[in-house]
Formats: sequence, C-alpha cells, structure tokens
Amino acid sequence: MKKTGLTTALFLSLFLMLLPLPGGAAPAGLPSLSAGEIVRAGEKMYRDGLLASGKEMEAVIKGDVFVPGPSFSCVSCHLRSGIGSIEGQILSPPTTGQKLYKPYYQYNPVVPDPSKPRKSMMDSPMAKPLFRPAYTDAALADAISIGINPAGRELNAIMPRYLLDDQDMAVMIAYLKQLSATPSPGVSAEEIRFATVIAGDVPAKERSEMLSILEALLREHNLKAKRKNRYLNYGTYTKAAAFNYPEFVLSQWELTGAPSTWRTQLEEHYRREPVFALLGGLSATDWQPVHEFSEQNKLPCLLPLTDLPVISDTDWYTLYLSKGAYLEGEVAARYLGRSSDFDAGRAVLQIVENSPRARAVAAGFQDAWKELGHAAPVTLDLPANEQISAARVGALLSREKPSAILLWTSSGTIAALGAFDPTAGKPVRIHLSATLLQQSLLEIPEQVRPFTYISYPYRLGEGGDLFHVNARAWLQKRAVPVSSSRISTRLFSLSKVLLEPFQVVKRDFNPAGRGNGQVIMEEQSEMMIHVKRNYYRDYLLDVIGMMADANSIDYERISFGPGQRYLSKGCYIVQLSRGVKPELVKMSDWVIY
Amino acid sequence: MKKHTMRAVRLCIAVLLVVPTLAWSESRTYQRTTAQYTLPDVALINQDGKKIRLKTVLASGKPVIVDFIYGTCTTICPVLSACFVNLQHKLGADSGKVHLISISIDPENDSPKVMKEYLKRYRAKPGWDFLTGSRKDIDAVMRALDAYIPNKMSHYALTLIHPQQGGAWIRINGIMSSSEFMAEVRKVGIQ
Repeated sequence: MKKTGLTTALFLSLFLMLLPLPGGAAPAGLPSLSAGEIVRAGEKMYRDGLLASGKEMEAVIKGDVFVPGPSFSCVSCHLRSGIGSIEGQILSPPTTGQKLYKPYYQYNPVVPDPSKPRKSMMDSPMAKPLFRPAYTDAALADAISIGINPAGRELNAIMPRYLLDDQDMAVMIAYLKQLSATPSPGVSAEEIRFATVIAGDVPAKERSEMLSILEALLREHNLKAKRKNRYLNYGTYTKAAAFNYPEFVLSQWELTGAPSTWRTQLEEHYRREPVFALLGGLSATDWQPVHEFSEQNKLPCLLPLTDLPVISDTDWYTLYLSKGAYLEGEVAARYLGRSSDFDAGRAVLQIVENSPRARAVAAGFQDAWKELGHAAPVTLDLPANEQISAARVGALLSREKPSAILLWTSSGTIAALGAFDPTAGKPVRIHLSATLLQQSLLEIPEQVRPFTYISYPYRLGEGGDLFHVNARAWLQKRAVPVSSSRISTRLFSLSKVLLEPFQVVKRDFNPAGRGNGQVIMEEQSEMMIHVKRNYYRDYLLDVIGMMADANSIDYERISFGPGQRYLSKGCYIVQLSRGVKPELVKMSDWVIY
Repeated sequence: MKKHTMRAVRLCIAVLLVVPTLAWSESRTYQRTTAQYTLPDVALINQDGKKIRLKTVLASGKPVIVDFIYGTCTTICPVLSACFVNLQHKLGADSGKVHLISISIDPENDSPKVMKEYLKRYRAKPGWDFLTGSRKDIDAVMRALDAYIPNKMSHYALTLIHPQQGGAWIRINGIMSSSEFMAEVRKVGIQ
C-alpha cells in the first residue's frame, strides 16, 4: 500500500508539474488601444522594461535572481532590431515575429531524406533536422513567462522569465510581430544606396578628399561582392543563386544656401532618393540640422566629419568620430581639476571667441568642471569679429589674478600669449585647444610653453606598426589623398564600421534565401556579425555596437559599444618642447577621468 | 484509504518541493576553483571620481567580491550586476560587511558619470564600487587575477571572492543563482 501511495504521489506530482502555468496561457487579447499605441506600449516594455501602467516589468533569472525591468529588458540582449546579439559568449537569438513564427532548422547535419521521391538521377532530397517548430502566440507566451520553447526545451537560464498578465503579454507579442518586419528603405536585391551630405560652402579640396576615400571603400566592398556573386552563380547546370550580395551605391546630397533651409533640402533629397544610411559628410557650419534629420527619419549617419557633433546620451542614429571640440574642453577641465598644483582658491578665467567651435570647447569645459564639483569659471565672451589681444589678456590677468586661464580662441592667440610674463611671480596655467589653433599650435612662444597645456585629440607619433603601414599603403594604392585635415585617414575607420558589418563571407550560411526564417543555429554566431540579409537600419547600428576595439590612423584606439555614439573617446593634454621645431610632449593618458 | 490518500498528498507536496531542488543542484552551471593572486598596487577611480587602491581594499578586513563589467554591456553584465544587487538585498543591514567591486573592461567609455548612472539604475547600495582607470592599470589587474579580457565583446562571466581572512581567492566561472551566490558568500564568513 505504501508503494501505491508513493507511485500516486509521483504521478500526481509529475501531472501537476506538466500543467501549464497561468502565465503560459495564450494571451487573452490586446487592450483597447490603437495600433500605434500598442506599438508604443510594446516598445516601452521591450526597450525600457516598463508596462503601459508605468509599473516596472518584473523578471527572474536563474530561478531566484530578481531583476527590475529597467535594469534588464528585452533590448539588453536582443537589441533594438530584435535580430539578436552575441556578447559575453552568450548568443541571443532573433525575437522578431518574422523569425519566431517560422521553424528553425539545423544546418548540419544535412541528411538524405528517404521519404521524398527522387525526381531524377541527380536529385538527392535532403532533410534538415528541425531545431524548433514555429512559435505560436501561446508558445511565445510560454517562452517569455516560463522559458520553454515550442520544442519543449528550456531556454538559457539567463533569459529572464517575465511575470506579465495576459494583456501585457498580448502587447509584447504584438510588438514583436511588427519588429523589423520590413527591410529598411534604400535596399533592393541589387544594391544598397548610401548618400553623403555636403552642406554649405565646403572647400573643394576637402570635398574631393572625402569623396575619394568613400568611393575607394565602396569599391572595395563591390569588388568582393561581384567576385562572390560570380562564384555563387557559376556553372551551367546549377540554378541562379537565391541571394546575391547587393552592391553599394553612393549619392551626393548637396545643401546650399542658409543652414535654416537645409532641413527642407534634406527631406527633398530623401524623398527623391531614399537611402539606407548616410556616410561621412562635411558641413561648412555645424552638423545639427543633419543630425536632427537623421534622428527623425531613423536614418543612420556614420562618421560625419565635424568638430561640432551633437552631444547627447540618448540620440541614436548619428555615430560620430568623437565629441569633437567639446571633448577638448572636457579633458582640459579634468586635467586641471586633478592637477596637484591647481589653486582652487583662485578663479579660473575662460575667454571664448565668438565661434561655434570655441563655444563648444567652452561648453565641454563648463560641463566637466561642474561635474567635478567646481564653481563655474569666470567667462569673457568676445564680441563677434573681436580677436583676443595681449592688452586684453594683460588687463584681465591683473584684475582677476586667475589660477588658470583658458583661451578658447583661434586667430590672435599666439600674439596674445605675449602678455604672459613667466618671470613675474608664479605663472598661471594656460589651456588651449588644438582644434582652434590648427597649424599655429607650433608657434606658441617659447617662454610660455612650460605652463601652457593643449588639448590634442589625436594620437602622437607616426605609428610605425603593421596596422599603420598597411592602412597607409591601402590609401596610397588607391590614390586616396592624405592631408593635414585628416579627412581620408579618419574615414578609413569606415572599413571597420561599415565594411565589416556587410562583410562578404566565404561560406554562404543561409542558402535558402533572405529572411525565410531558416536561421542556422550552428553558424549563427558568425552570421550575427554580418548584416547580410538582415537589412534593417537598427540592426546595422546593433552590429556596429558589437564592434571590437580597433586601431586607427588618427586616434589611439577606436571602439563602439552598445548604444555608444562617439568612436574615439580619448584626447591628450600636451605641451610643446623647446626649440624652433618643437615636438608635442604627452602630459596625460589618452583618457582622463 | 483516506490515510493513504493523505500520505500520497503529503508525499506529492514533498516531491514537488524536492524535485526542483534536485534539478537545480544538478543544473549548477558555474565552476568553482581556488587560486592565489597578487594584485598590482594600482589606483583606480570609482563612480564618485575618487581614487581607490585595490591593495588597500583587500587589506580592509572585509570580504571582497570582484567582477568585470562595462557600462553599456548588454547580456552578461546586467546578470552579474543583478546578482550583486540581489546579494546586497539578501544581506540587508549586513550588506556593508562585504565590499563589491566591479572593474570596467571598457575604461575609455566608463567615466565616473557613466558608472554612477549604471549603479543608480541597479539601485546599488553603498559598498558596491564600479572602478575605471587607465587601460594599462586595468590590464595589470586583469592579468594579475588571471582574467585578462583583450576585448570587451569577448568577456565572460567571472566572479572572484577574496575571503575576509585573506588567503586563496575563490574563482567562480559562470553565473550563480541568488541562493548559490549567498551560499558562496557564507563560506567566506558572511552570514
């Protein structure tokens, strides 16, 4: 009898364990919201981990690790596009409806399928083992709430199990169904179209250098794509390849007239010629109008050549080379704030010429200075068309007696430095910006060099390592001009940022064709780093966010990470050595905290 | 018969309670080893911009738990950080008895501002420092702890526990559940 009791208990236990949990039930239905509201509510859940009610989503990892939604939401692993990620040795598979609601097959082993009749001597029907059947709404609710996939397998323990009621679950599922459902504009089976923006009166030399490097990079991709397409379609008896690598095409979008009209001109270019992304770009003034256009049209803009990027922690679609002039002010503040001989009891004097670049350097300094807990510097904004002069500096020095003077000025700076007399007591510190001084940097008078510090956002030294030798040889071979404006050398980073995500690979991982959902598990880790066949703008940015740290011709190191929008984060503080041919002497690390 | 039915129900409840526990213990996905490490005497910078000497932290007499994360990390770091914050909650008033240290593997992006916002997002309590510093210093620490990660995208889940009394470090590869983490912490003297 005892035995019967135990058997009954085990049977009952197993029965109870197999019962579907309440959270795993099919969603009862969507709340009475418009389609747009449902997408917005779903997006809030997916990206921010917040329910429509404003409450935080609740989730459990590894059985008992509770995580609030805002700390760890769907976007953390599956990223904005929903195509997934590979990070920290964890592969997060796609979560878009288009991929979830199709079966998932294994690629290998491909085995003969005896159930299918052979149509000819040469025909050999093969079977690919099913990895998991297609999801249904109910199966997807199970995966999200209890971590079981339609094949009955348990998902990785770090996939959070979300505690959602039926309505919230329905909103989430509706969001996933529309996520990355259609390829982005600018893409056809034959080509992917890009544009580069040339805004205002840009010098012809700069324009020509930029177009030269962009065309060389696109030609590099197209040569590989053509070669691969020839191989894929090779042979008389094989059918045409289901997929050919599209070629890159570049358009030039010229913006003329007043910057206030640029936005309209951009919209008109875009209407006539939808592109997948913007590459590089030059502007006679700031980049703000193009930045806002990219943001509102969800159009990626990769590495525009500007000293005046928009500084934002949240904007998504423009990826800058660095924080530009703003960064030079930031590092000056950090270097000054952490200097042991800085006299906090005396004022910091900031002289700002009336130019966007000077104002950006000043803004960077002020923000970082405030972050370090200091009072705002005493600021003198020079009127338009007024240069800094030795007399002006001399008067300010005797009035303010500052511990440091920041000259965010360009022309007139070298002459004004004559006002400093290093023999009269302890000299103040002088901070300058390399972007503002340009070539006159090397003309800083010898007597002020020992207490003059310059923010210098580029690497020092020629760089004789293999990367630099190869990179410069690549440019030379393609007759790409290299100048002191660093246009071509900086845009060489697109070989990493643009060409790698679209890399033409040796093996064809998905022979069945684009977007058919038959993603291959074994090869997915390699697929994830290629945008191939997942032509979604958000996915391009997701892939760039998975970029490894890399070398650069102009910067010490370059890297993007998930959500990071500035490629180079470093900037040296340098001084000039003595002599008529001074050298830049490194006074700080590449990154200053 | 009624007696047998009651026994069956009681056994059923027991089995329901035990089976998941057995399954859990069998599905332990982390590896635990011990090792001796000597840390370099470097000063890193925490989320408040203050310099923290790792050697001083280790000599403080508190157990120290170290992991490697970065501020914009997507998959592994949120889980490791959720484990840290769950541990702080479980320890409650005793959370100050252990020093949690997260060392950045993306020091160029992880400024004090980024790190402070990260800790705020996880509702970290005092006693959890997120450290950044020069790449040279961070590399030296990673190498000393046999945890060198040349590239932030190829990192892995690693937690190192330095016991209160010093001696060998406990090295945990993989991600622990909250109860597993608590059990490991108890072994180094925190109750």
